[in-house]
Amino acid sequence: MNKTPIWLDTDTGVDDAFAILAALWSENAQLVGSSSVVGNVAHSKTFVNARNVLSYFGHPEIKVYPGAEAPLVIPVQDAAFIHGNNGLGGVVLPESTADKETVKAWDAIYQAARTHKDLEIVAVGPLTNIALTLMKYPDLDRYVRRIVIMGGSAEGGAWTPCGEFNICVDPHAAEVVMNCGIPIVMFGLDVTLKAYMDETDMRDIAAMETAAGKLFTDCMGLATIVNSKRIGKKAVAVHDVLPVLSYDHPELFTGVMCGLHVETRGSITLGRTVTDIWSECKFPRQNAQVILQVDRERFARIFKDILLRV
Amino acid sequence: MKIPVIIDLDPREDVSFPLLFLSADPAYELKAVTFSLPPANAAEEEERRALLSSLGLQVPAVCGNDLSAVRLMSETIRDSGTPVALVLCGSLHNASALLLTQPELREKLLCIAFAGGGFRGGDATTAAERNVYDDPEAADVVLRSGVKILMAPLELNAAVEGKESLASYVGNLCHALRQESPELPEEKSSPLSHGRLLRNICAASAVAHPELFRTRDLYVEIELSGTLSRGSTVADFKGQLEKKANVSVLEGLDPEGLLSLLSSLPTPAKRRENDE
Repeated sequence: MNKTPIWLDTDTGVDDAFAILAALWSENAQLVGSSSVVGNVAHSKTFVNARNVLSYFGHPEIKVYPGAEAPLVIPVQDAAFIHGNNGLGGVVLPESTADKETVKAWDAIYQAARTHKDLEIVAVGPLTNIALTLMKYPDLDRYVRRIVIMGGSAEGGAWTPCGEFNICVDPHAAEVVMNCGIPIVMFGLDVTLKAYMDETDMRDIAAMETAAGKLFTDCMGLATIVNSKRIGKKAVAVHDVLPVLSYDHPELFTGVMCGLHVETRGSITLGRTVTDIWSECKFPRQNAQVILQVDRERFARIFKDILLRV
Repeated sequence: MKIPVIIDLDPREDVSFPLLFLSADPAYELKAVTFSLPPANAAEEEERRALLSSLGLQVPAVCGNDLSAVRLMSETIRDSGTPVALVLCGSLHNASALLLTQPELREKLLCIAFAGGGFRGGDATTAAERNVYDDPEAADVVLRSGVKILMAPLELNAAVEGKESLASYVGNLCHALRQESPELPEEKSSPLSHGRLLRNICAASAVAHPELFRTRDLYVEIELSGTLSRGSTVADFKGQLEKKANVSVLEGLDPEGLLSLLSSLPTPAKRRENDE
């Protein structure tokens, strides 16, 4: 079976690192390129982190194209309190020796879309790069089959009472993406906070002698502290892994089709992903599949298997 | 001791059942009736008076434009020897106007119980529930007033929907209140009105019967801006904002308990019989 070509846009990022790993080991998705965006930490760091993680996992040849250094409209925010000041929980990886790409992410994404039939964009950071690609290349919808995101929340929030970090960092970009006409699949907090590694899983991972297992144990300390408060027990969510893992294991996830848009002008609701799942007032277009449930036990087993491979 | 209560009704909905409930329940003394919208014409004003008459209610009521709702609320609250509960079944406009023009009356309010708001989605817009959306600024005034607030949100419908259909349960509630009172108007029937009727009765009953509800004290704010979210109610479920809770949200309901309560109440016919 032909693999689905995917473009991975990240703000690496501790869980982004394992989204990259999952993409490299995917049986059904082919990672054709990646790009970096401002988000968890400054772009100068997310760019370097993505390159170094790819190299660490044995694939320095996968190019990382530099993207946006700031959101479209609002000031930069970061999540260094979760990802550490360097974005990898304080872990310093060997520097990748690959040449640094200078072509901008939005140009590279469009080129990849023109090259690879039915490209799918997997965006696990703020959507600034994707929005810029859509704005510069309005015909992108002819070449991209789906945009699969980690972001948003159908119910509640974590960054704000009703907003998730990736969308809150650039709500205007997110709304550009929601309106682009390309089908959206949203893995929001509703499902990602259910896909956690619990204490037993973390002990299993700590006992691994693989590079991936070691990196997980070393970089997830801060994220575990923050996530544990959100989840209600000692655990860490690997949010960004879910969209990538869905290519090999769609059966783990259930969701609903709905209308989905982003609040770009609210005061306390800025960055809220508004769905019509529970409302009689439907949006004109049912533009997204929002994933709400995951089989956590199976997800954890599959994720740990991936960590054992590298 | 009976709780003095003023009810502010939404004339677009079924108003007879919240009125029946408050007038029948011995835990309450219904002191005044107001409407959140003025009548469109004289015929509508007469319809309101006729309704109150058919329910056997002899309490001060603002049915037309001759007396303002805010003035009647104010006089009723000032004249009351004990704190008064305000039950709001429509927009929060009148309550907001009362609080803005006479803030000293906050001390004489037992609570404001309103049917409205919702956290997952809305029925006026995708994100906003109608009673709050009709006047978000008014809702904002009420929620920031410092008065004890009870809120019956859209999600309360789910407390029933798992066990039987909402229409069936609301039908049973209405039948329990109507019993042997054929002169009472038929309840309006639509999926949206079933939910609103339930939440109205919940807001009304929560004041004197808190044991029927599971409540959660939360900080709740009204979004006043927003393209999609204006009029939505945002609750800080995880305490991220570290602000003091300002609303007791009705999260769960004892459906059998509420039905049992309504079934135990005397109907107007029975009360007239007792009076005679």
